[in-house]
Amino acid sequence: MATLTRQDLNFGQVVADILCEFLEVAIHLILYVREIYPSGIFQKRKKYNVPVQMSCHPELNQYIQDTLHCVKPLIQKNEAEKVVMVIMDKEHHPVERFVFEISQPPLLSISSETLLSHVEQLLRAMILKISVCDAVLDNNPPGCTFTLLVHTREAATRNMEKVQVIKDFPWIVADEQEVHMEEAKLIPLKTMTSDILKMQLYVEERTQKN
Amino acid sequence: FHPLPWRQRVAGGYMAAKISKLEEQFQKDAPSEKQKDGTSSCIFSGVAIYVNGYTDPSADELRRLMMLHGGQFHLYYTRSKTTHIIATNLPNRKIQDLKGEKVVRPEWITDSIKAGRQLSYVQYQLYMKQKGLNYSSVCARGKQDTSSIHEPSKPSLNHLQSDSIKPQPSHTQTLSTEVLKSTHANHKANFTERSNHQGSQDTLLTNGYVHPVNAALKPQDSFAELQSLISTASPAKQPGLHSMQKDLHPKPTSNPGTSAAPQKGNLHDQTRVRLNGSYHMTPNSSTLADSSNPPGRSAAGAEAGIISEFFSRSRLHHISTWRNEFSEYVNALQSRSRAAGGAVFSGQEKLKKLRANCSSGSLMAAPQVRQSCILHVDMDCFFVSVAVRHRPDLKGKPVAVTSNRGPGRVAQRPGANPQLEFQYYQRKQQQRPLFFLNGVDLDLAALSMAEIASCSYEARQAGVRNGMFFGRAKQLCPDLQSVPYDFQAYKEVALSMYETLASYTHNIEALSCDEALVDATNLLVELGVTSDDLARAIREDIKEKTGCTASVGMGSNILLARMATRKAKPNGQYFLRSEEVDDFIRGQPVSSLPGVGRSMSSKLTSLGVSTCGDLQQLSISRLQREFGPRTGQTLFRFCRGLDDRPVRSEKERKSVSAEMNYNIRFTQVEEAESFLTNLSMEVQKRMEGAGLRGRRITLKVMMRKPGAPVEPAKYGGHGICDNFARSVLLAQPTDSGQLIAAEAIKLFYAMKLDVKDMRGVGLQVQQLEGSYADPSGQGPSRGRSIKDLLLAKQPAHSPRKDPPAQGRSSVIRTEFFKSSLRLSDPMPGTSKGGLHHPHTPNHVRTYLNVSIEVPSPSQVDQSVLEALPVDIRKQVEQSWRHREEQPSTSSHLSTPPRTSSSPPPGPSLGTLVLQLQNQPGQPCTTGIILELPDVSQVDPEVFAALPRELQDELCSAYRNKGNAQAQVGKKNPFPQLKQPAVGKLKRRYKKRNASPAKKGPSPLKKLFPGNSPAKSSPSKTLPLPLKHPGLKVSLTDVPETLSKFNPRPVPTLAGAYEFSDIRTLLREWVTSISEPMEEDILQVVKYCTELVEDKDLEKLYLVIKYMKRLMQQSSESVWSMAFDFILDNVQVVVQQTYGSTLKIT
Repeated sequence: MATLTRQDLNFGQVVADILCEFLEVAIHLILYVREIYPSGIFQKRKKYNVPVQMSCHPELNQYIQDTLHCVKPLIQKNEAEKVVMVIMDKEHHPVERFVFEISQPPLLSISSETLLSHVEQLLRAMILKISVCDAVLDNNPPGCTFTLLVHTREAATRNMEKVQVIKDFPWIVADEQEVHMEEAKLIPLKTMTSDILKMQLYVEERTQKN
Repeated sequence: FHPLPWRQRVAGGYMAAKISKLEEQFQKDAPSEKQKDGTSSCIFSGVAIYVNGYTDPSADELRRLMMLHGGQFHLYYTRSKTTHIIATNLPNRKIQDLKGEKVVRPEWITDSIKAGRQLSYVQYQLYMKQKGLNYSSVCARGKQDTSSIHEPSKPSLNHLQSDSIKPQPSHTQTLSTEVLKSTHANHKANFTERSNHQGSQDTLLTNGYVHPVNAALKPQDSFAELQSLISTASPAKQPGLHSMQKDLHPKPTSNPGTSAAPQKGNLHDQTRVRLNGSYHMTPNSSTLADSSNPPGRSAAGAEAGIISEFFSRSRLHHISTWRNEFSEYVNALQSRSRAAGGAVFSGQEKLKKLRANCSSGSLMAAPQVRQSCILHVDMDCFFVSVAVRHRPDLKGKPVAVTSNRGPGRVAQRPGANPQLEFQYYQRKQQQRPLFFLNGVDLDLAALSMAEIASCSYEARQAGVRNGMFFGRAKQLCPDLQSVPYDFQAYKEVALSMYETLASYTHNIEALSCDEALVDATNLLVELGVTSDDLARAIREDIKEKTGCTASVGMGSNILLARMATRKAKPNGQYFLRSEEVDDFIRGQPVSSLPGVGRSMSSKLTSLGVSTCGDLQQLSISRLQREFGPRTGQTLFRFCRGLDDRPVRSEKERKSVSAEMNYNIRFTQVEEAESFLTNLSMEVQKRMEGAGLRGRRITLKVMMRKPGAPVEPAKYGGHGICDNFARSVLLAQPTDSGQLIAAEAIKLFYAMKLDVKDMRGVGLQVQQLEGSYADPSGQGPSRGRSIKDLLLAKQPAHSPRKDPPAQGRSSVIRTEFFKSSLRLSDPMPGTSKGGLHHPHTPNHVRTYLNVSIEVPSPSQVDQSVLEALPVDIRKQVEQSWRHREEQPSTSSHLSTPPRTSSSPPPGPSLGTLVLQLQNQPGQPCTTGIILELPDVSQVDPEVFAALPRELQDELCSAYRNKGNAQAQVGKKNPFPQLKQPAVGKLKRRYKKRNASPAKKGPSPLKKLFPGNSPAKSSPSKTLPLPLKHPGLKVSLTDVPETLSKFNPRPVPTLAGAYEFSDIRTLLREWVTSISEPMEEDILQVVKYCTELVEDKDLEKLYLVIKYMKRLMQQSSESVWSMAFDFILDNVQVVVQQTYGSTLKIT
């Protein structure tokens, strides 16, 4: 009878935990698939019962972890609308934006027994889609970097400024340059809907990458 | 599938036996009846009636009359034997079930008897339309009648029934023809219809069942039985019980809304009048009278009305409801002041003046630094001071408010063992001051057990306490005066207290009827007065206005303010300064902390804690280990005087409950069941009042403790009890009493309790959410409006329930042609100007009407059209002309008209959507010239609703169908719009989306209520169903609330939402037609737009890619253009939503 509603304290937590775990895996995998870092720093791991690649560069990992750690409270409160991983070229112009658009499903409940396995299935499908996304994307120019952005629902930013989850790891309002991409093409990758989470992943790709 | 109707199948065994027995009984009774009543005849020989529902004269009387006059009376309806059905009022379903039968008003019988011969029943038919004689009167008669118009269509359509369907006499709805080739679909349709039918039979039968049972059991007191049968909604019959119920039946207002038939009200009135006197008993009178009326017999606890009665008298109930009322009062004040842009605080003004007067002197201390200050205003022994305020003679005397006004002594009732109970209470309350025993030798049995609600300070000095039994108090304080409750006065005083407070500030939290919290932080800064001055002013004001004294405690937080009040009492004020908090709180007993009740304080005592100082010694981890993380932390903070709770003017309710533990004495399980049902209705009432729904239902039961006396010392009280509770979690939040009752009864059975030992029953609903707010609590009222909208529209959706739609004369039809023409300007570009503004519900509604009207005209065939009156034909032809002008424009489809206009993102999306919504209006112009739809597609109800002439014409049209179809191509003046292929396709679409849904509430239809206009009117030839415009809007607005009463409305294309279905649909569309219809394209665009809004880009992507493949491969270049058009439109939407366009490779 582990049925919880959104009113329950740990409902948001459950969702946020699941989602952040997934985002971490996904970000690592995107870094690998999009060849942002040399493949040498990646290790093959198993997650959601499928092979994934995970970086073993401690600072990179720390950055991702810290970022997600800060995103988590937002997700808990359903204040994060999108988590975006932006891949930028040498001039810091975005070439690709992996957008995880998070919304709440119409029916919130953690009632079903098969829920977690169902969610895992959906996440696995998404991971698999990421690992083959290079098929639909053009190659990136060399020397790309990446950054993580969060699109919050209104007013959430103010709280974020007040409360720093991790010391000396503040949020910065993203440059227009990082957010905006000219002549972007949108490539939907995957949409998932479960009882606790509705998310879709799409890529915005700059038409002229080089 | 067995064609045998359900009822007959059932009638095989038990029912058959029962029916024949009842008939025998009837025959046996008849002679004796005839003897009794001299006037007998044989006018009704050969007539067998069945009475359905309420009639005047009653079923019993009719039965007697039939006995007297040679007729038969059937308790159960059998199609073969029953010749006439007697009814005055029948619900829609029943009418449909009984079609073809003679449904006659009871006057037929009485008049026939008067006339001495069997009159023709025709005049007395309940629904004149049964024979299609009097058309206009039907329209006037309203909803129910319209479906009986249905009848005449039966014979004419029957011959069209194909062999593919097993002939079912009662199932005329299934009109199949050679077109229904897919046997699967056929079966499916059959099945849904059958299940529906069964459902209705079922209800009918239950209905019919209840009445006969009632009549058969006890003809002489059928009123009470009928009532109780209805109220229990179960065929329970306990003759003994019923007679008792009849005696004690007070006020069955909370009946589980089974049938709110008018006769029921009558019955209630009668019983109520009869019973009011007998039930009206104060605990006092009952205690005195109890020797003659032992509570063991007062099974009134099982009664429906006692709940309302109980709650209307229960002190606790009153007080608890008041708190909510005052909270609402404060809320109302606040919102009013917001609306007025600031309120006038008379009290504030006064204070300001006061200060101005004093400011010359240096009396006034300078306002301190802004520090939060909470005032806790509490009336001094509220009930007593209210009672005493107009009775100066009682001032200064010990006074107690209680229900007992006697000497405090009562005779002992048999079965009661007060001593035992007192011992039990003593044992239990060892921690509490034992005010039962102060060394006084008590003759406990003789004491009144009425509790003291409130006592004056004088009485308190004598040792009297609140909650003490009156008899005991009288012993302690012999000159104790008792005053009765006066709820009206309490309310008045409380209201004026709140008014007084509100004259200072609106930052008030209503705690109860006599105490409130005021956040005076801002007020003090604003006025520049000290909190003491404010408190004094408030107290003086209250004293002046109410005549009662109040105490005010002040502190920097709620906790401290409340504690200060203790010190302030009586009639004083105390400001607990922050510097003295520590010392003060250390000396306070833990029980003074909020949330520390008896059980927790006993637990704390076991930990060696009695004061807050002791409590401070415990570490937070220890406390959390002992009491759980939250309570532990709260305790830890409270005992240090820390409290960060804000003064909230509105508090979130955690639970809604109704509990009753007075006078519960059940003898039978059924009583408990019906009691639970009634209690559930009470809960429903409260939840509705609070606008909440809940998911967790908890049933609490108090059971007599084994070994405790059967009769408690207190009359009707619960005595010594064990408490049991069990709860269940529902999938969906509910506020339906019936649902709660069903769950509660299940719980009750699961607990396996002996009803005789039940002493108290409580129902609690937790995990609440606003019944209108979405689960997150944001956007409070949006949901309800949408829901209401949907509900309100529901009747309009189904033609069956829409009398005007059915009984429409040709004039009205013409009007609708016009309106549809107006709305259906099909050019996206040109229509824009007209469509910008009308984004109002009103508009949507008009549009809805139109969409409902579409079907009937669209069925009309060329040949039928020619038979139409001239004016209608003109209209139609005009519409054709209108249509004719368009091919030129529609060839430009590939040029995207909307992208060029490049409107700003936000509103333009809305515009686009609106345009799309309006497009469907168009088919009615095109639809008219389409060929006659297949008979299978004719909704019999719609058909039935047509005027008689039209029906005949349609029938003849169908008869000539063969030639008609052959002629269609030649006859049609606009071939480009009317390829035979289109028709074929449409049929296919329709079959897909309409056939499962058209027979009433199929699961599919429930899933997509928004689509029901399209589905419930399958006769329309629109290939892709119209979407509900309101739904469209709501999708973007409140997807969450919608989902509360139905699964999320997934975007659908022609009813399909799985990608594979969509794909099949699209493939059929593209492969079967050489040239796409414009509205089809627009439907696809609309679907894609919905996908974008539903944030399902993946599916959109797949759909687009699939269409691209299909359409660009098509040999016709039109398809390729169509795809371009679709893609352009979709890209605009995507661009507006996401700022970039889809990459289509």
